[in-house]
Amino acid sequence: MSIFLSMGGYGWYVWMAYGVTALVIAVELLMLRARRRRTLVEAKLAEPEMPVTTRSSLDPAGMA
Amino acid sequence: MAAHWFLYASPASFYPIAGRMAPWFAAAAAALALVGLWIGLVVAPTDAQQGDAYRIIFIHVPAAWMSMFIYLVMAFWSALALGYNTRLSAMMAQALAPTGALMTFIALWTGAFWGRPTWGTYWAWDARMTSELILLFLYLGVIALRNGIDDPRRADKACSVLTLVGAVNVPIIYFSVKWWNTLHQGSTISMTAAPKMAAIMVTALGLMTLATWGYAIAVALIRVRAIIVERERGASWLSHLPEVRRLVV
Amino acid sequence: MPAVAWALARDLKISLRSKAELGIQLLFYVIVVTLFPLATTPERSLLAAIGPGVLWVAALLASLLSLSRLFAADHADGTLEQMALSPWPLPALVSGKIAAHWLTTGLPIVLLAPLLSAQYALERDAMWILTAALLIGTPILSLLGGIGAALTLGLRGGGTLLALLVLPLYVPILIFGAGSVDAVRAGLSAGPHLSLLGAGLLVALVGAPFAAAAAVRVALD
Repeated sequence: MSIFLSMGGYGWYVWMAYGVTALVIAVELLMLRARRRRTLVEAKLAEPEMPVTTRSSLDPAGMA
Repeated sequence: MAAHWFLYASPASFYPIAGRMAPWFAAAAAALALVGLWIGLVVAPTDAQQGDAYRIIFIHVPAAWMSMFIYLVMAFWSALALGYNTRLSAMMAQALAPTGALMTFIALWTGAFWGRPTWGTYWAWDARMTSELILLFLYLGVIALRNGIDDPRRADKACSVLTLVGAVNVPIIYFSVKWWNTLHQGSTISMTAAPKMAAIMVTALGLMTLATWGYAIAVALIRVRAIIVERERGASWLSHLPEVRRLVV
Repeated sequence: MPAVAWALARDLKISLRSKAELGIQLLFYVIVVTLFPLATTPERSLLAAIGPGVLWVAALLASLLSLSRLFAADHADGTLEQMALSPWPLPALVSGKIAAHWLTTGLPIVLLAPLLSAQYALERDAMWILTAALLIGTPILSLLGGIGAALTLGLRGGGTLLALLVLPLYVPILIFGAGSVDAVRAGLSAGPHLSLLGAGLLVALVGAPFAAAAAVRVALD
């Protein structure tokens, strides 16, 4: 295991490279998930309202 | 035949398709990456000249290839968006830009950490890395322009024009930087020259390339779904989506 | 052709009304060029080595500063929309405006090059090659910059966004423009560099007005 981590003495370079890559990919995925959640909430809030009509027998076309 | 294609050009009809495709690409990317990394980091032998530092190529090279390929795909969608005036084409281009920028950053970062132990320096102004840096600026420029324009349709067209102008320039920039580099560096070897590769290393590289490809496609599909929801806000098909209906706000 | 001449004459007339503004632009260029030796060294051989690069980068920045104004005034008072609606081809009108931009920004830089080369202890033939390279290259800066100015028309980030978009596109011009002088100083021919710049100018002359006109229409919609 420690041989794996040391990477023949080049551990710093290899793991900085792989580590930051993993980090930025995680950031992209987290930001994507947050974006999706946010847009779904905004879509819910922007739902077109059902039109409220007032109609009675005295005013059948609802023009009052 | 043409009618078939335009059927899928509607954001509303593409949304569920993208939703069904994305998990498959994500799963494939994860599986390929696991095997590729296992072979690349554990199974493949140490290189005679570069030691274990060479293992960085298993993410550097796929990321660099993806950074250029994604730009070409972005340019393709931009050309379609300008030619056919389809919203979805522009949305696909919009969805690809952040991932392209990310790949470019990963290529630059891993390239620097590969360069230091192998050629003694984090940055050497060599042709490929310098062109990659300018490609990052091109990506960031498209993203900045998208953010700077409020009207989505104007942003679509402006970013499409910019992407295409950039696409024409990328080979010119690469050629000019290469020229500049050979004039000034002379006999210095290219900073990103990979070692002579044993078959197993090539296998790992191939697997990681496919994994990166799958990742980029999955992320782009998920992002374009978010973009579709953002931009089609208020449309009735949106409010009938199960993921919107089940929200309680 | 009459469209180009009309737009060129009009823009020149308008620019020449505020000669002070033109003078200030040029002064900016001169001051920036003067700053570098102060920040680095008065040592002649070092100055001659960085001189071409400094003069070129300063030219890029000076060009960018005035580009944001290329379409802004006409856009604000509705003239740009009239131009887009007119029977004259928009690319031609845009070419005229870009030509006026070069005449008021690029050409003065070209004319000052011999003088400023002296600040950097450049040898005589290096100075001439630099002037020639700037003569061929600065129009390309105006042409490509015109596309950027049209894309960012009326936007909040305005000038800085324009710089971010256009500077990567300027890189080849910078490389060949400054490289031509380096070649001459190293005893080689500047022919290839200047030819490539010339080719770039031809491509830009043909392509940029159409791209810029398309970008103007996008901004006007």
